[in-house]
Amino acid sequence: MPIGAIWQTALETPLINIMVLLTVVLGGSYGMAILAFTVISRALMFPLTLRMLHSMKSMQDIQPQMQEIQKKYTDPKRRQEETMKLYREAGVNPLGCLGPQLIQFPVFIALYQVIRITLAGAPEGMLELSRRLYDYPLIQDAIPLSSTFLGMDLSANGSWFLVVIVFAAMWMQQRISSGRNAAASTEQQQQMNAMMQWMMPAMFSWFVIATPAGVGLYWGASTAIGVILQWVFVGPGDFTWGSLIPNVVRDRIGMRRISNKPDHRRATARLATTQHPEVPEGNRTESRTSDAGSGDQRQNGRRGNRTGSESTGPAPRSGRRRRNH
Amino acid sequence: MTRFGSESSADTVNVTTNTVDRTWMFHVKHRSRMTLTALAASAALLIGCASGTALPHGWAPPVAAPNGLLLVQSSAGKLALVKGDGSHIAEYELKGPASRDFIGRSKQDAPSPLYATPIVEGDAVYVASYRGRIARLKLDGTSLNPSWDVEVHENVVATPVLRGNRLYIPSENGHLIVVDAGNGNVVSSTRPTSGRVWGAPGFRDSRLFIGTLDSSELLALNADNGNVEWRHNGSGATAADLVIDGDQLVVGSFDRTLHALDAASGAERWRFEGNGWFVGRPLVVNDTIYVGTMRGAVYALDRSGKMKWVFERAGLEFRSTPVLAGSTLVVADRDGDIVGLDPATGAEKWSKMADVCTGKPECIDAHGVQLESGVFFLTADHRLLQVDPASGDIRTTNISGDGK
Repeated sequence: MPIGAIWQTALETPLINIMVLLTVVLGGSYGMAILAFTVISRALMFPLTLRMLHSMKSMQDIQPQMQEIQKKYTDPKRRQEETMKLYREAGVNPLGCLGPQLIQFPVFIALYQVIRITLAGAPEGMLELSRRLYDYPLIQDAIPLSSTFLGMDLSANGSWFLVVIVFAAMWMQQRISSGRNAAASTEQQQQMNAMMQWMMPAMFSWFVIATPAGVGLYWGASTAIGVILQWVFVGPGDFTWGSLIPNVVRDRIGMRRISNKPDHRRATARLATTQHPEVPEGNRTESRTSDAGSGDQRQNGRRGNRTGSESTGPAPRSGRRRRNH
Repeated sequence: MTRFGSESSADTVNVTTNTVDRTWMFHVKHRSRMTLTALAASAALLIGCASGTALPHGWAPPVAAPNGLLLVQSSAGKLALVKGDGSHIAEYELKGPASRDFIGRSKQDAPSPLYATPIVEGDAVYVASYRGRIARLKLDGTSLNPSWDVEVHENVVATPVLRGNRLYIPSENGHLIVVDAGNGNVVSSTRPTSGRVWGAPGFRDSRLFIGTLDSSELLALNADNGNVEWRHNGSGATAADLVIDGDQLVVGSFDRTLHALDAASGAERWRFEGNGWFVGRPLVVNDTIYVGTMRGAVYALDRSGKMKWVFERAGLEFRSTPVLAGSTLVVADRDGDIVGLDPATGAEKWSKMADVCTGKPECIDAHGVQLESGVFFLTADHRLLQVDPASGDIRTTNISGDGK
């Protein structure tokens, strides 16, 4: 059996029928069916997601020890042995986050096709549905499906409303993920994170423009659910809502500016503050993640006497910084 | 050892040949996840774009022209006048719609396919493309020359109706555009329904009957003033051409039912439930209605909706209307199975597979047409199939001009 036929029979066709059935059950709204499908698929993947989130949280918890290892061992082999040992002791699987992503991809691909087939623009596409639908009157009679949802045409490309939703959701996801390990990361990593924080939402926003709005609806809803789960089970990391206020507004209302400087300096500055508390408050620089650092403090407060990143040693110096000096 | 980054950097990436560097896996965890997400999304787009869904190729059927000739869509948006053996006599390509590119420059899009059946009236041919280019061509035996062409800025799937000097064009988004058949001027444009109109309207006693796909309604309009005379809901989504049978309107529907309505009042007279969608136009001959379904059934009904016989074969899909040729009813499945039936009993006389359709699903969506030399079907890739109704022998001619 060709792989295309397997793909169709095992995934695409069942998904078409599920979507049609959900549409019927939800009063003929295909948009609601997409949202319901998103919730159902996230619920089915919840055990894997939870494992991923636990892994992420464990990673967060062992950051101080990781930093210690990075500092302590210069020999790469020894360093990785110690790191692996730390992973074993903490029960962390560095690849634990990939499961839900990998499972979600085929679903995403299939859903992309399903939306194109079920909301077919071309007349031939409508006829193609005939051979894909199971022979149940409830499903057969549901065609054609209404493609309108919240004023959007789910079969049409380029929904700006969804672009905003997806961009915001992905930005938030990147933000609360990338800021989490900022204390342990280097300038290079932080630059990468800073870039990805905008690149990823921008890229997916472009996908939303280039694909039917139904796909964007799924992606936006799925990402939003992911953000909520991450927030609930791992916490917002160093993110605070206050960090969303741009410097222009901060200047006007008299708030301290947020520095976009790489955060390993922040870690160093924090350490200096910890070790030399006589440094005046006004001489410290507030960075985006230090603003968010209040989130860490908040978490630390919530979680009791847990060792936080701020109590650890200085972040290691990156090569670039060394060269600059 | 290959080393990326600086030696003292905490995120130095080490790739050794004899160990699996899982430290590296950790350090690039986030980047890997992001990269993987991006790759998968790109793959989804690639796969989605490269496969799967049907592209519009148009299902305009071949139509008989004077002197035993045929008018066929030889490529997207191109109408060709051909002989029964497929040889070209003349052709005309409808222009694509005018549009603008991403920096705002005006451009001409590629010609769009034809779904509407060309209308032949004397020496004039009226043709409508999917993207709304309407043209009147003059047919003088050896050439097809445009008398006028106009863009109506609406997608057109349904076959227009020509009455007197007016061309009634239902659009895909529910508009009814009336064009002066003499000069191509748009006389009026109204929107009597919000649903897509794919089936050819019916016309009787100055009433225009329109079936809709999305709003599942049938309506009768006064062709003179555009007023809605009646609406009928509950007949399901309609993509099939409407057929006037005396004083009743016969409508195939996606609710797996063939409906018959009183043409004057819109009241339902009878309904017949089949095994699948009725998408093809019913054929009414004498006292019998022949109609196929998308689940492989062909029904013969009397004019009160009682079934005379049924032919069924699993796996077939009949979108095209049956053609009665002499003592054989010829039906063509979308994938290229062509079956000859006894019109009196529904018994199978012969069944042939069009070789040109092998491995090409959705090969025959266009209705067939009968000429003296046989029954003609047009495939989606513009091959003309000439079927001998007596034996089922199929002769294939490539009229697309692609040389294959």
